[in-house]
This record gives sequence, C-alpha cells and structure tokens, in this order.
Amino acid sequence: MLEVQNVSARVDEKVVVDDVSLKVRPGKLVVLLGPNGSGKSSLLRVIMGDPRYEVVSGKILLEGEHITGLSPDERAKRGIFLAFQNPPEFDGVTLATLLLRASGRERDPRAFSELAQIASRVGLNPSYLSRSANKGFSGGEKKRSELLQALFLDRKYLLLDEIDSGVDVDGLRTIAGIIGELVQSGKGVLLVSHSPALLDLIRPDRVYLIRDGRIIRSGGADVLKDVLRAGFYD
Amino acid sequence: MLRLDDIRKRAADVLPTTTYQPYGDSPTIRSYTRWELFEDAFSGDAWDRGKVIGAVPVDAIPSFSFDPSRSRALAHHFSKLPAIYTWDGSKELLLESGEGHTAQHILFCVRNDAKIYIRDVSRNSKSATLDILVRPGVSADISLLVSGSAPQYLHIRVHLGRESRFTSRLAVIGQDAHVHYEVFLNGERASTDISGGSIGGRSDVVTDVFAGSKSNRAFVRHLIFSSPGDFLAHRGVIRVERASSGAEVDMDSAFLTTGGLAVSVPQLEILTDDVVHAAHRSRDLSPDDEQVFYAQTRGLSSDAFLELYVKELLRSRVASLADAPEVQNAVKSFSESIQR
Amino acid sequence: MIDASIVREISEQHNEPEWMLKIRLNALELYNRLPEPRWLRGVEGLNLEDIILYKDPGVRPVSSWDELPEDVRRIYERLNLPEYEKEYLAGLSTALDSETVYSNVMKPLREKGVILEPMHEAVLNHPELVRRYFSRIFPPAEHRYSALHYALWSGGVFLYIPPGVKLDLPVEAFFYISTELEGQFEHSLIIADRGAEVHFIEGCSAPLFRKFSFHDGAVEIYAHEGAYVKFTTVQNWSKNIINFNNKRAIAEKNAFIEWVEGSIGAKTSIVYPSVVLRGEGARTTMNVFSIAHGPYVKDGGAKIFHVAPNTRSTVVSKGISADGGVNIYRGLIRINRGAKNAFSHVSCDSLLLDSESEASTYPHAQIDEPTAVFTHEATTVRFSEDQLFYLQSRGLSEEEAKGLAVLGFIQDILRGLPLEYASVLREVLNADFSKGVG
Repeated sequence: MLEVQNVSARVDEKVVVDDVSLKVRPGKLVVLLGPNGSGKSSLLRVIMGDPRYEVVSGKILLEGEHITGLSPDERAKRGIFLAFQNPPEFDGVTLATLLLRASGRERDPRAFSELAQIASRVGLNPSYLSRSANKGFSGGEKKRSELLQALFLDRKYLLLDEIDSGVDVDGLRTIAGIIGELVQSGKGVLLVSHSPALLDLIRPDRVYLIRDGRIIRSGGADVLKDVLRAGFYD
Repeated sequence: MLRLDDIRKRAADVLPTTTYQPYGDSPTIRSYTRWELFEDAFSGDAWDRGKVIGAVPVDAIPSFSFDPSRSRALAHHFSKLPAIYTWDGSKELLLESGEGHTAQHILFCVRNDAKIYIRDVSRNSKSATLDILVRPGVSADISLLVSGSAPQYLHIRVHLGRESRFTSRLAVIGQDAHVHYEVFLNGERASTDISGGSIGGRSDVVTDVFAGSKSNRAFVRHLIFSSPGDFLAHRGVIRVERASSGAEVDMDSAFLTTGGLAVSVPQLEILTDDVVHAAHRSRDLSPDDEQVFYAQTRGLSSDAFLELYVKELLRSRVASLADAPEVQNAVKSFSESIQR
Repeated sequence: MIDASIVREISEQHNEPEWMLKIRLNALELYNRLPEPRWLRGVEGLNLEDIILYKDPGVRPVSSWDELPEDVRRIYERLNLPEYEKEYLAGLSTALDSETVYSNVMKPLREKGVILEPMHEAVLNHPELVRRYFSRIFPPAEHRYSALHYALWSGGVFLYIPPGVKLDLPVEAFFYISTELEGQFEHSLIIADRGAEVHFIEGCSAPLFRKFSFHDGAVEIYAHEGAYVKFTTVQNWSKNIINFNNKRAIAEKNAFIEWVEGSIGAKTSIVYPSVVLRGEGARTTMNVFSIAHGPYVKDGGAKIFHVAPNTRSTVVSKGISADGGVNIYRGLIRINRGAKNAFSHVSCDSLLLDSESEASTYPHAQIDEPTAVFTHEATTVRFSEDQLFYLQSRGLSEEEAKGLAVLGFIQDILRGLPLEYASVLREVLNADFSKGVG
C-alpha cells in the first residue's frame, strides 16, 4: 500500500498541501478530484519527492517503509511512477534511450521491440522512440508518451496527473481501457482528472475531493457521481 | 600550377602589413583567440613538416584559394611552409606534428564520394590549411579531432560545385585552438551540414558559410561544454549572397556551462529577400530542474541522468568522434563538474 | 584634429565650473588619440570632421514652408498636426508657447520636487548632483565618437525625480524644452532616485528637419533601488543626417528599466542602447525597431550587462529593410560570473521587403555564469509574393501592402508605446510607404 499520513507541504512559504491523508492499495483505482489550483498536482509531486516542495509534517509510506527522505529516483525504483501533466522536452536524449537506461535494460535485445509494441498499443508511432524525448510532441502525443513509459517501466503504483487532457474520444477509451487493465493486474493507481468524459468510462474504488490543499470529502464511487452531477469545476 | 616557393614568397611579401583579425564586430568585442601566443609560435625558426600519412607531397599545386593577406596567421603559415600535399583518395589521413612549429597544407580534390578522418596528434604548436574542392554531384565528409596543449591553427576552405555536399563533425579539446571553416556553396543545390563540439580547454571555433547559388542549404550546429577554467567561443557567419535564390540556412550555437566562459556569436548576413529560411539561435542547453526531476521519476538518479544527457548531446554533435579516448576523458571531466 | 580652443569657448559660453571643462578637455584628448572605429558602415568616404564642424552643412536652412523638401512636407501634411507644431518640427519656429507649457507642466513637477531643466542650467544650479553622475554612466572612452561628444556637448535635458515620487504623466521633454533637444551634441541625464517612477519620451515620430548633418548625442540614465524608468524614443531624422547616439542606463537593486527605441529616418544611424544591471533583482526590457527604407544604413542593437544575481533582461528587436536599405543588429549580452540565476532572452527578427535590401545580425553572447539562463533567436523573413498578391486582391496597392506588413511586423513594440505616439507612428509609416500614391 502507498500511504500518505497527515502530510503538509509548502513551496516558497505557501502551504499547498494541508494535512492530507490518503491510501492507494494494490489493484485499486483511487481518483483525486478538485478545482484548478486545489493542490492535486502538488500532492502527486510531493509523493514523488519533488525537491521544490518542503514537507513540513506527516509521512509517506510505501509498503510500510518511510520514504519521505528518499530522492525521486529512489522512490521510482521502489515502485512509484509519476505521469506528468506537462512533460518537459529534451534535446538530444531520445525517448528510447531514456527508458532503456532508466529501466537498466540497455543491453536487453528484446527491450526495444517491447517498447515499439507498447507504443503501438497506446497509439504512439514507434518512430517517436527515436526522437528527442517529448520534443515537438503534441499535447495528446505527450500523454501517450507518459502512458507508454508507465507501461514499460512497470512500477507498482502509478500517479497519473491529468493523463486525459488534450486527448480525443478514441484516445480516452484507450486510456480508460489501459487503466482498467493496470488495476486488474494488481497495480495501485492514483488518478487526477478533470474531465467528465474519462471519469464516465472508469470505475473508481475510492474518491477524494480536494480543495485549497485539504481533503474535504472522501468516499466510494457515489462521491464521483455527486460531483459530476453538481459540476463543481469553477 | 602554383609552386611552393612562389606561395612562400607571396606570403612573406604581405606579412608585414597583415593583422590577425580585423577589428572586432562591435566596439566592445576584441578577440577570442590569444594571438600573442600564435605570434610567438610563428616567430620561431624551427619549422617542421611533421608527418602527413595518406597524402602525397608535391612541389606545385593546381589550385590555391587562400589569400595570405587576409590574416597574419595565414601570412606566417605560408611564408615558411615546409611542404605541400595533395590528397589522392586514401581513406584515413593522419597529421602528426614534428619538433618546433609544424605547418602543413593539403589540397583535396574530391572526385568521388569520400570520407576523411583527421586526428590531429600534436605535441607542439601547429598550423594546417586544408583546401577542399568538391566536384559537382560528389559528397565529402570530414571527421576532425583537434587536441593539443600548444597553439593550434586550423583553417579549412571548402568549395562546392553543383549538387555537391560537404558534411563535417568536429571535436575540439585543445588549449588555444583556433579552427576556422569557410564553406562556399558555389553551385546550384550545393549543401552543407557542419556540426561540432568544443569540450573544455580554450578554443575559438569559427564556422563561416557563404550561399551564392540556387537552392543552397546550410545547417551549422555547434555545442560548447565549458567548465571552470575553460574559455570557449563559437562564432560564425552565414551569408546569403545577393545572387542566390531559394536558400535555406540555419545556425544553432549552443553551450553548457558549469563555470567557464562560453561565447556564442551566430551571425547572419542576408543580402537578398529570396530566402526560404534564414534563422539562427544561441542558447544554453543546461538541463533544468524539471528535466532532472522527470528523469528521476523514471528511476534515473540525478547523476546518471546528467551523465546520459551530456553524452547524448555530445554524440548528436560529433557522432563517432565521441568514442575517441581523448574526447571521452574530456567529457568525463565535464560530466563530473555538472554533477557537483 | 579638433582644437582645444573650440572646447574652451563652449565651456566659457556656459560659465561652466572647472570640473566640467576638465571632462571636456580629457575627452578631446581621447578623441584625438582613439582610432576611427572600423566597424562602422555607412560613413565610408565621408570626411566626418568637415561635417561635424559645419564646413559642409549639406542642407540649406529653410525660411518658408514651401522650401521644405517635398517628401518631408507631404508627411507633415498627412499627419494633420496643428499649424504651430508643424512649423516647429520643420525648424521654422524655435519654441512652443512657453507660457502654457510652464503652467500646465513645469509648475506641478516643481511642486513635487522634480528637477527638469536644460542641462547647462542644471550644471550651474545643481553641481554636486550633476557631477555625481555626468559621464560616469556612459564613459567618454567607449569609442572615438563618444569622446567627441563629451568634448563638444551642448544642450540636452536634466531630469531628477526625488525618492518615492511617481510621475503618472509621461515627460515629453521634447516639447517642453524643445530647443535643448535640437542640438547636435545634446546630452541628457535622467536620474530616478529610490522608488521613483518616470516615463521619459525623448523624440518624436514625426520627421525632423535639421540644419546639421552629423548628430552625436548622449543619454545617461540612472535608476536607483526600486526605481522605474521608461525611456521611449522614436527618431525620425531627415535623410541627410548621420545619427550617432550614445545611450546607457544603470539599474540598481530591484530597479526596472523599460526601453523603447525606434529609428525611422536618418541616412545612417548608429545606436546601441545599453543597460547595466548592477543591482540584485534589476530588470530591463528593451524593444528596438528600425526601418531602413531606401539606400540607408541602420546599425543598431542592444547591449546588456548582467553584473548581479537574479537579474532579468528581455530584448525584442525588429529590423525592416526596403528599397536597398541595410539593417544591422549588433547585440551583446554579457553575463558576468556571480550573476547567479540571471535570465536573458533576446529575439531579433528582420523583414526584407525586396531583393535589393539587406539584413545582418551579429549577436554576441558572453556567458561566464553557469546558473544563468540565456536564449537568443533570430529569423529573417521576407515579404513574399503570395502575401503581396493576397493584400492586393483586397484592394491595397503594393506600397500600402508593404506598409501593412511593416506595421504587423512591429505589432508587439507598438503596443508598448503611448497611444498618441503609436498612432502618429502608424501614420508616419503608412505615409512613408505610400510615397507613390497621391
């Protein structure tokens, strides 16, 4: 289980995560909803260990182990993956090189074809693997690149930050399908989403509602129904 | 045919009136090369022809496009030039320095597609001029590694006929190296692709391209890796001549610095409006925090990512030269400085 | 060689204190010693000394409206300016109605403690204040013509804003102390004390018709901690003039210098405004545009020195060349070691309107600080036949279409100008490009 216990964090003196607690269990889909600026992305970054955020209280546990002091790559290796909302572009490091090196599979002859297969599966042309990572990729292509990486790196817990924005209807169906499969295969997924279109296609096990950095409501799938009907999005 | 002693005489005649560099291109810019050191090197009497393996020594050459009056370095070099060579098609060219100051001039008549590798192994100061004539329809590719702890002057002039192509990869890791490319796109559809990297030390790389015909294409990219104590400059003009049409030119001058000086001066002179694309940019390619964090979230430690980043960037500019042991050493020490 | 007696005469005429005479004489010595700058274009074959000393003014002063050159007259007519302004701009009258100017402008400024006076008066009335800054911002030794300027300077405006005083109306010194700004070697000094704010407008978009042919002026600006100085100048000197200008601003901690520099006229113009970001957190944005319309040379650029940490600079330069015009951009961004986290972005674009024109860009970046972030981009574009055809099919003549292309190209910069300024500029550009049309 990935557990956030009463974590408060700030960036530049401003508190952006305020006493948040939540749990992500293997094989379960947890959805985090909230208006813009509510702290959803910040929370994901704090879980991942972004050095720009200072955790002032609380702890983050992964399979019972305290990971609050670990660097992002150490957390990644222990089993967490963060799909970025706005993936940065790279000049010179190709997508394939980045992934093969990160997974330690540069010398594995099957690794590249595996990458190509996954690329086709998420709807990304395999030629993108030989391009500088994310450089010149459209919004939708960047999301597919994140999904590709999530699938290839195969970590236990997946934090997906707005994996659906900029993606068309067909793409959303693909994404929803993949999320479903991941959960089925035993991964714990924490999904941050803004779009009713995607939320309509999935079945969350737990839903948290966040506002101004605090969890204001939590429950089962019924919370999602209420929120979608009431349309809280500012 | 131009004889060696005529070349020497002409150069010696103009030497007294030459200067190393016309005044800089603005009131505050002087020079990025320590010409005083070159003056010392050129003033000695012990000149050596060094060893030129793969080329033929001759007494006279059919073509000579250099003008010694343009720069004192050229005037010195040609006034005491020990020998001239022509390259007849061997694959690898090895230029070795001798005792004292080594000076070499090589005329390349490229009639068939050719790949030229030059690894400049120099212990002492050195000057070399390469005059490259590329026949219509032919491609010439040159891979140059310049390293050495004494002043090195390397001047390359390339003349491209119709539909010919010149590509080059350059890696400079010397102390007081001055490398000057002048590429003339004289024929229709002649094109050039020049990329290189300066890794540590002190060097001044000048890449000049002149597009004078129809549909010429020129892409120039250079990357500087500067760590504390380094002094590295990349400058170059791409000129699109009035008589040209449909030119497509681009210069990308970039740098990574962890504490040394990096100077980037990509210049454009566009003398006609009949251009398809004319742009240049100068930028630093230091990885930002977000890129490092992103790589970490994939499981790469910050040090591993930085090392990968530097290696990949270098390879994108110097290709297989990245495997040369000297280059690997230089990059290793740069990577260490970026990881700190 | 210029004789010291000329310099002494100027100094005596203005009753200058010893220290000012000394600055002049030192500068003269520099002028006689320094070499002719070899990077200058557009002045080849000219005997500058003759031109400087009026031996060959090149232009006859006019004494009536009809004697003005046709193209200048036409532009004034199109501009629809009030009669007295037209006369003033044409050099036919020497000053605007000083009474109105005094009561509406000068008095309220004086009440706030602002000093706005002709430079010569300021030297006499506020010597310590002037002495603290004069020639210390833009050094005489920079090049031969800055040395010449300091030897022969005359006229110009002195503006001092006391701490905390924020002026909401721009100071259009041009119209208020007009005669001071029509000189050949005018020197203006603008000082914004801590937390002060001012927008100083130096020139005028409407074309200026002057007697001299060589202009070598200077502007020195000092922004103290937290001050804001916006400096706008659009110069439209007539086509007989060689315009040389020496301008520099220094920004202290958290100060902000906004610079809009436009050059439309002149035969040859050589202007590189520069800013030194000396204090931590100092910032500057420079918008520079220049149009070389006809066989003229515009040599301009921007120079920025980052000396302190957390400094920011943005430069947007737009150059337009038409009818054989040559536009040159020379820029320098220097980021010194220790200027941690400095940020600089330069974008410099050129528009070529026809095949006879030229555009060159020579940007120097000297980066000595690893934590700095720097980018420079430059693109040269042409006004294509497609674009021309498209606009013509909407009913625009070729010239009008070009004028429109020019306005579109400098859109971002126009937005930074005061409204009336921008509209006059638009008119001037339209007029400039509609020469063939009645």
